[in-house]
Amino acid sequence: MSATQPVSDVLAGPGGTTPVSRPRRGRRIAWMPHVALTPSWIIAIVAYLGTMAATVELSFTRSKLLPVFEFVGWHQYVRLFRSDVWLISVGNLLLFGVLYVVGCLVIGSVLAILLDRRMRGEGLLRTIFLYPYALSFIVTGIVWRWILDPTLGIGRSFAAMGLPGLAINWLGSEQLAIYAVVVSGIWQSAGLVMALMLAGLRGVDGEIWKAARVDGIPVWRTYVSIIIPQTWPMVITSIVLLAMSVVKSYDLIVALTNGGPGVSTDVPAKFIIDYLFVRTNVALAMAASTVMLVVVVVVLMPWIYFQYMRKPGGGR
Amino acid sequence: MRHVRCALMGATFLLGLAALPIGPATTAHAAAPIKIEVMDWFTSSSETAALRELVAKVNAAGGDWQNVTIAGFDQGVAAAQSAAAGGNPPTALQFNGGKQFDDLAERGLLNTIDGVAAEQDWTKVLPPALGASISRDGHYYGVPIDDHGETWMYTSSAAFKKAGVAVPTTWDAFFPAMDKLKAAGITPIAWGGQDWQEFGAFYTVLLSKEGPDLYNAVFRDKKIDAVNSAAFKDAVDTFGKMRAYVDAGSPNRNWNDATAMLIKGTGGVQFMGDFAKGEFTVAHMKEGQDYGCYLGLGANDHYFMMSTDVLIMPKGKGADRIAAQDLLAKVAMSKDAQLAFNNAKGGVPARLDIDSTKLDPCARKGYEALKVPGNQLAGPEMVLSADLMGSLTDVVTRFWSSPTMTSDQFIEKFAAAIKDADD
Repeated sequence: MSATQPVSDVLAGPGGTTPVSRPRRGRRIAWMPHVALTPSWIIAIVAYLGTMAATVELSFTRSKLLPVFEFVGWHQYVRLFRSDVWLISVGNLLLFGVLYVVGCLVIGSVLAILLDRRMRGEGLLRTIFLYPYALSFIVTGIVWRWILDPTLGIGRSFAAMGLPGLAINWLGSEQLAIYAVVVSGIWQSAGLVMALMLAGLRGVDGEIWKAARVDGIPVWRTYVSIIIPQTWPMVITSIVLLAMSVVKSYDLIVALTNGGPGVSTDVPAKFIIDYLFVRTNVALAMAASTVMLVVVVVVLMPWIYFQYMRKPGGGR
Repeated sequence: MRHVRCALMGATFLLGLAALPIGPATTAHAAAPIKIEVMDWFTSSSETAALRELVAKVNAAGGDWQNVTIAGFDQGVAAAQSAAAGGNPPTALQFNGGKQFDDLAERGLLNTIDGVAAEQDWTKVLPPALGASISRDGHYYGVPIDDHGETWMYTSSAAFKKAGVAVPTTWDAFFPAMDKLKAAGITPIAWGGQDWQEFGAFYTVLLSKEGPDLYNAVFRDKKIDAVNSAAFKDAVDTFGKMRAYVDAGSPNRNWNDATAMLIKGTGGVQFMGDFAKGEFTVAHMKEGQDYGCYLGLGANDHYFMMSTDVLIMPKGKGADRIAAQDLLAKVAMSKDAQLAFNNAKGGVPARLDIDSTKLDPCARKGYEALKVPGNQLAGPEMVLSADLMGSLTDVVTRFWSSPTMTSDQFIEKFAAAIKDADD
């Protein structure tokens, strides 16, 4: 992919090829990028890596309200993994993450394909579908809480129509509440995937369509086998964006269910915030954060390896 | 108090750090007023009204109150913690009486209020359990500005009238009365399905049905035997039985929305702390006529389970810091200020030597009960660490929302949470 090339150049660093390829400018110039990047480096090392290190360190202490450096070994981790609330949170994150990403991709792609057929009122529909993404998750959560409230929302409407059987109390059920979170999340973010995919579809060479038509390939087949594979960068971009909102999913949960009923929709971010502030157990919160950090790093490792570490032997 | 948490649930992670100037600065004093900076999380209408009373009293005594309000209980605690730990904190911070500020006191970040306490004879005028919740090793670290009853039962007269049944006064009469309410198309128990409300309803049932000895054994003394007792199981069973008397809209309902059901007559009873009273007052309802307030139900309806808001005084720079803190403590604990503050906020005065005729009927009922030493109980917040309270709350709310969970499983998890606690 030509689009990734400049990125890897930048990441290869200023100390890499620049001075060799331009010997005439002298050695001093090679320092300039370093100087320019120094503030960023300081911020990255102190603010990000430093706080990460502090997080890991604190997770081995007995800190309660304030950080104290009395070490208790793996105690917090033992407690963490004995806590079924934590295990439920992690399970919810996985379930929500998979359904949310897949749901957004499928619905967003289908919407994009429909719009790509140059249907009437495309501009209006595009705006409507993308509009929820302009809302914060807090607003999305509150709106869906009202919609799904059996005494206010669609449940009440069904009951008024004489169809009380259709009124499912999603938010009142331990089993269903997490799916309500998924549905509202997809409602919010599918439009983003649609916009990205539509841009990808429009970038496909028109000649391909002509060729497919000449060969008599059905439209759906053209999409599945030819067009969609060409929009792969858009799919990857969508997955990365969606995955980030999964890991930081907190606001949607707080606004929609606040972790309930019971603890059935708790997620790690909420667990951590609860213990950090309300339950004043800094060390346990830090242990949970460290586990999340490790998980994210483990998941990202293969991707980072393929993206940056592998010596470029060609494009992709 | 905790109701701020739900009042602002929607904006939970918006840290609204707004400096609200409350009340005009006094000009009555010739001497330069002492600047008093207070960080609190009083944001509801009754809370700000109460705060305004206190500000007026402090300013009249020569102070210059500067208010820093943090929106939301969680953010309030977080900001107060950071302020106390981070170098130059305000003159005073709002906390709850109990273990919440243990760490700060232990590590020498707080000034004691022993001088004012001795002068006003706090040991004598405060309920001993409340005094214990604001002191460590014989030193006072917090000024209690109110005393809230945690275990009230409110009833809607309109609902009971419609169902043609009397308000139950015993546990035996409770569920039959709820059945009658249900038959009349009323939601018998106006339920706020948030974890802290469910936890509150649970310890209300425990205290009210099984008595103070069991409550103290479980919550204060953390005795596993008591958790495994037949009486505790009976309380769990009773609590579980209530699930059949709430409506489908109860999950995640705010406490004041549940109170509104009583006001409208669509709900029968609500178990809640005394801050719910403010909602009835705002709706122009009369105690005894439009609604009823009871300190629990049955033989144990005279125990007052306390919780309190306190001001703690962090150490910091500035020459007149101690003077400002002393002035604030002195005024906040004065009879005048206690009465004015609590009449607006809905609680009762923390000190027991005040003329109760100046309180509204519900508060008077609570205050008279509170004056009897045997009726005073330390609330969960006073005796449990925030960590353990959170774990127990998890158990209660999970039991409530999973009808398949048995009482024995509840007891097992409850006992495990106590054993696992780090304190």
